[in-house]
Amino acid sequence: MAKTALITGVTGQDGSYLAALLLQKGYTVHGVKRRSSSFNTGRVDRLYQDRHDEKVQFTLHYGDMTDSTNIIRLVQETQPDEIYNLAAQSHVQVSFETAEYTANADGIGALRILEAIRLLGLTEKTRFYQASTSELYGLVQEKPQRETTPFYPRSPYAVAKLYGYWITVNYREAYGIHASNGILFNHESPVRGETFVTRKITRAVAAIHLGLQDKLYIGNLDSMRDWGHARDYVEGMWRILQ
Amino acid sequence: MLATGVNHSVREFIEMAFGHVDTKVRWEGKGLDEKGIDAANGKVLVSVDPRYFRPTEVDFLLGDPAKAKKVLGWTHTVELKDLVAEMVDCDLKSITSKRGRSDD
Repeated sequence: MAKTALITGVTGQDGSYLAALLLQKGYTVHGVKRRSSSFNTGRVDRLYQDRHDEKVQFTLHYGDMTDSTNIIRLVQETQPDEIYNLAAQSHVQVSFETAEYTANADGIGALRILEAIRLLGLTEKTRFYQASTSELYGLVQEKPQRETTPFYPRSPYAVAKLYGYWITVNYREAYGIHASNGILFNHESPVRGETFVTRKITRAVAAIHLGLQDKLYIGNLDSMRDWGHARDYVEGMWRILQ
Repeated sequence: MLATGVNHSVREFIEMAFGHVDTKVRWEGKGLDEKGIDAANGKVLVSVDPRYFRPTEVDFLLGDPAKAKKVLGWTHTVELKDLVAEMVDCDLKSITSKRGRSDD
C-alpha cells in the first residue's frame, strides 16, 4: 500500500524538494504551512497544480510548530507512516533577534510532534525524521566533524536544534519510536531563501551581471562551509527513514 | 550525517559565482576593508558589511560523510561548481523574465 508522509516546513527549500521526491515515489504527501498574509507557497505551487492529476496525492494544511493541538490534530487526521520535521525558524542570524520564538518552534516543536506520536498510540507505526544541523558543531571540536564529534552550538538557532536533537534520541530510547536525526551540512539550490549567503551571492552576481545592481555587501568572507545540493540531501533524508 | 566532505570559503563561493558569468574577482585590503574588485575594469563588486557578522561566528564546518555512505549507500552527486552554476543561471533567468514583464 502507498505510504503517507507528513512534512512540516513543506513550503521551504527542503520541504519542496522532499515533497517532489516522495510524490514521485508514490507517497500520499501532507504538507504543513503557516498562515501568512503574503504568498508563501511559491516553492510547492508546481506540485499543488499537479494535484488535478488524480494520481498526485498532495495536500496542504495550515499549521504552526508552536501550536500543540494543531499538530496533534494533523497527525491524527493524516495517520502518517513517516513524519519529516523540516519546519523551523532556520536563519541563524535572525535567531539572535528572535531567540525565544526560535527555541519554541525549533526546539519544543520537535517535542510536540514526538508527543503527538505517543499520545495517539502511533509509536509502532509512525517514523520520525528530525532535521538536525551541522550548526550543532558551531565552535568545532574536531576537523572534519563526524557523528561522534561533541556539539558546541554557537547561536540561539543551534541551541534550539540541540534540544530537538536530544529529545529525538530520548523518545527513540524511551518509547521505541523509529526516530532519527539527520545532521545535514549546508545544502543549497536555486530555491534557497534569498537571505541565506549562497543565494544572496548568486542573486547579486546575476543582478550585477545584468547591470541592475552595483555591488554585493557581505559578512564574513573567511567562513568555511561544506556545501551540497538540496536535491541530494532530501534523498538522504528519505533513506534515513527506510 | 550528510555532507560532501569538501569545504570552501564564502570568498571562494563568490569567486565561483562571478566566474560563471566570466568575471574575475581580485581581492584587495584586509578585514572589514577587504574589497572584491572586477579584475577587468577595477570596479568594486564586493564590500564587507559588519552588520552581516554573527555575534558568535561559526568559522569552519566540514563533514565526514563516511557513515551515510556505509549505512545508507548515500553520497552527494552534485559538485559545488555545478551547484553554483545552476543557482546563478536560475537567478539570471528569473531576473530577466521579471524585467520583461515590468517592461510590458
